[in-house]
Amino acid sequence: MKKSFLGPNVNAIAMPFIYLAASVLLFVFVLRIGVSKISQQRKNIGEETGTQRILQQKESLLREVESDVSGFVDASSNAVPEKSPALAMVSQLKNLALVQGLVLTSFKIGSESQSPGTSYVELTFGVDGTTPNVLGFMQSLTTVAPVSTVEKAKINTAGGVASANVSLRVYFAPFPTKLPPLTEPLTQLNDEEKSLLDTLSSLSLPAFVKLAPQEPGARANPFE
Amino acid sequence: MPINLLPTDLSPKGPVVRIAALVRSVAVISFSLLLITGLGISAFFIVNSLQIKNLNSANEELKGSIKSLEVTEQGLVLVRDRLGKVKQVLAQDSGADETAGLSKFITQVPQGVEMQEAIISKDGVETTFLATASTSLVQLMAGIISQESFKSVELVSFSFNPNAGYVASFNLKTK
Repeated sequence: MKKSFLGPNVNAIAMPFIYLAASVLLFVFVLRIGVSKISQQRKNIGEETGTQRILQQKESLLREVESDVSGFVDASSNAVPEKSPALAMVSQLKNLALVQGLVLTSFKIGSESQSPGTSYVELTFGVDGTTPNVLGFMQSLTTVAPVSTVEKAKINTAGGVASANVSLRVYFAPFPTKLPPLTEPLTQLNDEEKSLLDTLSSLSLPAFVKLAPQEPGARANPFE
Repeated sequence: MPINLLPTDLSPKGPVVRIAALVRSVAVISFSLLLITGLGISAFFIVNSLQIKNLNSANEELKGSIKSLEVTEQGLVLVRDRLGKVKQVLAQDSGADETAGLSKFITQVPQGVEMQEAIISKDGVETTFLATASTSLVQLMAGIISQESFKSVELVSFSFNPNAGYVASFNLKTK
């Protein structure tokens, strides 16, 4: 019989050791790959669960405010409109002057000051009446939309008639152009914002005449 | 009893046989562990995959639902943006407090006193009063000092004209 090159002892012990080594190596390999895949999956599950929570909260909030939001939009976008609100403010001044029994003697719309945040347009006007009414009129400027600030006012009184020259800044700002990412959380309006919104809702809005759309009519022939 | 016909020098010796048997047992246990671990990991992997799939489909559904509420979201974003702008405007100095203070005071001006001029700005009110009699002037000054709307009252000028009366100019500050 041919004798083994390695001898019977080595032969007897080698094969079990090879099996053991292969099993251990495979075990380590499977464990490493498996654990890394599963931890990646757990991470994905965590992220997806977080996203789901945000989406659920966002959907529920949007459904909750769906009926009120158009009123909020009207109030807030009239308070700070998208474009120069000079003409709307002139209309408001005329209405306020009428209420106080005053006469608007002049008005001048100045240049617009554009800035990345809030822009404004300068509006100067003259108004005549009794002193308490003129001051009451100036106070009532805070009760109308769009929002404005009194920069300077000069009141001269002669013979019981007050003549005021008032300089206002009326504010506007471009509307936001894009929505936040879908998975970004949306928060409820806080108490301060709600209170501010109540104040804005109480401002009197400028009245505009809306012309109803009309169909084009037949044009008269000027040569007949 | 098994009959071993191999020559004795080809058979492994006593301790080697024991070690080989032990290593073989360990190898079998290790292979069993490998199988159990592999199966366990595969099961866990499948369960996780299903969970991820369910979460993904639920999230896609929610995204669709939110898309259908896009107009509301636009409104809410606009409202929040406008509120921020209004806060910026309200934080700016204006002559509103000064106007309110003067408006409150003007109703309490005594008889015989007339406000000749007032310049209202965000820094304060510069105002000039004409009093026809000294008693009216005293009442006017007492009235101005007792006003809570003004934090500081400065007498800027004071003069007397026999034809018109006493002319007093004040600088009133609300802040």
